[in-house]
Amino acid sequence: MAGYVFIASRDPWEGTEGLRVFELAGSLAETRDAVTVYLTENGAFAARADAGERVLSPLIKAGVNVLVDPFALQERGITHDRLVAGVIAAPIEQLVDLLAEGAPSLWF
Amino acid sequence: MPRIVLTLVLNDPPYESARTSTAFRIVDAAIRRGHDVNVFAYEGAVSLAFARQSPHANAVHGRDVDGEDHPTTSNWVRELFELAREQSTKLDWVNCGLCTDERGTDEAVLGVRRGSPADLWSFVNASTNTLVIPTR
Repeated sequence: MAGYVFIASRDPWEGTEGLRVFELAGSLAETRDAVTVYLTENGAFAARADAGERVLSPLIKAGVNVLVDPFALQERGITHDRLVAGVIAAPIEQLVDLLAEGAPSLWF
Repeated sequence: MPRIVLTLVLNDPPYESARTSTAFRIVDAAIRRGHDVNVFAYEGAVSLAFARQSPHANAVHGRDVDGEDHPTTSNWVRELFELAREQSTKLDWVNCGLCTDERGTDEAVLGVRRGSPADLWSFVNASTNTLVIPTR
């Protein structure tokens, strides 16, 4: 079972709503089931090293699988060697595979 | 093994948001994986498949229509239907009829059909998974 999938498309610094959803993802991972966060579009900004640790490192520590869309990284000039530790670049096909496994999904 | 069927609910109008291109990328990847895909286009998303969209020149850049090669979402929808045929998968695209009437975009590209939220209900019940891509 793929667990839950959260698709993060917003820059986490543009408001608190996205941060609350990241907290929900961490809580689910600690108490209920496997969780994957897929960062795409401006959500990829969270993956930047020396910036996104505050948001993503607690998730990774809680066991959340954090993936980032390479297309979104490329569009924003974020190189793969400048990602928060533990974040994995994963093509959108990997997101499709999770959806195909039936993972409940939330886009925010 | 039963076929995998993914349903996507789109809400954004064309040329407004990165969510549209991401949605198209997901549909493309799912079809290439051999999955059947349903799309329920709601609100402004019904205009994605509007057949009368046309590419334009770009005078600022000194390009004519061919040189500009401006993409239109209706062409992307056409290409997704072609891809589904090539991959022997099914793409079922339903535009919300009331949303279409409100916007006067009832001329959709071949393959797109008119429907209602009842079609979404049917899609969800028959799908492996459903992804709702909301507006902001």
